[in-house]
Amino acid sequence: MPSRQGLNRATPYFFLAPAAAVALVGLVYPMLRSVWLSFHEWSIGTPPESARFVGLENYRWLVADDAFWVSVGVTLAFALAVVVLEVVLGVALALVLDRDLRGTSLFRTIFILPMMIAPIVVGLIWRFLYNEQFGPLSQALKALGLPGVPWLSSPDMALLSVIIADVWQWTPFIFILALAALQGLPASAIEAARIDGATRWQTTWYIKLPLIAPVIAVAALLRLIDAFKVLEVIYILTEGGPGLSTEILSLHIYKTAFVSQQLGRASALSNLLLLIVLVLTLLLVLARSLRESRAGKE
Amino acid sequence: MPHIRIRDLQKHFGDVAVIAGLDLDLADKEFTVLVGPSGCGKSTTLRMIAGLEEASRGEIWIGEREVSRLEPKDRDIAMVFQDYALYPHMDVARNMSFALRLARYPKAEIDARIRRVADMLSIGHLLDRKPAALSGGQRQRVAMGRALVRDAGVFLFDEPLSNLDAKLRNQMRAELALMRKRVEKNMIYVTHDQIEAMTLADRIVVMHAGKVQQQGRPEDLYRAPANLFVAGFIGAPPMNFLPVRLDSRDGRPVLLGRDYTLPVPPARMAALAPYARRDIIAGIRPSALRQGRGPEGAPALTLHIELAEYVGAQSVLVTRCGGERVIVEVNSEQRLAGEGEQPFWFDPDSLHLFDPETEAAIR
Repeated sequence: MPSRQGLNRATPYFFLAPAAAVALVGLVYPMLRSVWLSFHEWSIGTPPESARFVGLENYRWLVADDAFWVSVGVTLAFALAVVVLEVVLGVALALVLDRDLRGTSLFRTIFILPMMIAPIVVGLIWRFLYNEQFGPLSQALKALGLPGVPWLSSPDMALLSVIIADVWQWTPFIFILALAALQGLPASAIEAARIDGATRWQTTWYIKLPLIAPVIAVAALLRLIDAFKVLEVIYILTEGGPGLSTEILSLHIYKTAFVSQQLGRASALSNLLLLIVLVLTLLLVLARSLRESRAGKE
Repeated sequence: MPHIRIRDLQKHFGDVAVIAGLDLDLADKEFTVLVGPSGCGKSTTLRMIAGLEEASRGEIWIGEREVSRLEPKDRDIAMVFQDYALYPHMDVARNMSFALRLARYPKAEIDARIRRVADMLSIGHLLDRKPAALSGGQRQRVAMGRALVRDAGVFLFDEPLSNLDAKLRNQMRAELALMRKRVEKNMIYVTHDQIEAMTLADRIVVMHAGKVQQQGRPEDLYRAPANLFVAGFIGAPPMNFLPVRLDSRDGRPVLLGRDYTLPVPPARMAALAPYARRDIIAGIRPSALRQGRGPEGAPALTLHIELAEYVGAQSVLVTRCGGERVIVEVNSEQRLAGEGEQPFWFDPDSLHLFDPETEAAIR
């Protein structure tokens, strides 16, 4: 019966409807609102009706603003640096701890800990560590007779300090995913490589890494998307300073919205950020599907 | 000069001795099959020869070298794994050439070797495929090819056919038998399947509970099993065992069972001397029992037929004899018309006798 078939076909949509409704209210509405806002000039505290339509004015202002381009540069540098460092360190750690030795499970747990700490707390921890008068890092340098490092107060050092804090918190994310992937590898393929004459290093390079590469790629992509949106740790550590040296886009948006109270411009900014992240995501998804279709043909 | 010598090889996991002390001598270019039920230590033995498992004690000699502390790559071995263990991200050609590329062979040499082995295994048309795009049988061939291109001194096979379905397994078994004629290498093959062992081996080593039960040519093991375990393991359907007692009747020694009497094989008379009035286990193969009365004076057994299983050319009769189950293999053409009690006869020399305590054959 056609009507029954139609009903059957509708069933999945029926079950998906609640989730779709939540996504609509929680995701699509704010996004559309933000797009609407980016074409208006509006201050917090005034009624929305008072918002003035300004067309592309907000975007035009952004593109002409040096601070925006500095922020884009800082964001790119930060995101690339943390993702590369976290992938290299996380995978290296996973390779080292992918064995059954006494105590490895303890190490694994310890390495995962930073990821479980709230970002605000991570910021506070590192602010304490980096404190130039009383921080343990400065004390240690002093004890060794070395000059102090202006961790957060020098424009040259601040970005590096912020990168170190993020790498500390998020390397475990890559680590656990890489470790899970390594432990899921077929043991016999690795034994076959040993028989085939591969050294430990060659087995890692030619067998293990290529086999866990898809997992690493997804994990790195997730980290990259996250790195573009990071806010709390940097806010606590430097508030974007000194100068604009650590003012990444999300912080720039926050300041534009809540310090300068320019909500229209802030919306335009966040739409641009969304666009950047979207393009990045699509590029990586595209690269992946390209590689997969090529692999399928082989 | 034995090509592989194993002396007092042991493997312990904690307090558990998986291999309790193994001695083997495998001649050069011999196809040796380690066979036994799962958990008997045959795979562990193979993995110790390969160097994938460290020996707790003992020595392994390959040729003139003691290899038991060497890395697998330094032992001059190639291995075929049960689950094939192909590298999923490499195509067939790269899977096969991996070892040669690591050893930095010239490209022309690598190509020539792959071409030769691929032709031999008829996988030439698969060289640019990934393992995921291959059937089970094709993967099996590639795994074999990867071992063969190495041209190593010793080939190790760890249950290579057990992941294939029955039909493919028979086909691959035949191809293996052909291949081993062409590739004159020392091969060690592990299986739990005694038919594979019988058809492929120059020498069978039967293992059970971490010990070698018996080793020798397939026909020797079949004809003269050294103990109860080997007698029950080698041969399908398995040997029938009947508990008897050595007694005498009318001044002549006989083997008395509950409802049956078996003759004493003349050749065993001397060996049986210490067993007077003691329990013995008599074994007789299902194929040694023949229907009917037989020639004058031939020993007879009356069997109660419970079930006849038609297998094809052969039929298997499930029968009872004085409370013991006895399996008989008969030619389907001559299958009995009736059921119930039927006479059977056998050659007294086909009887096997075992000591029930030591389980060793009485010869």
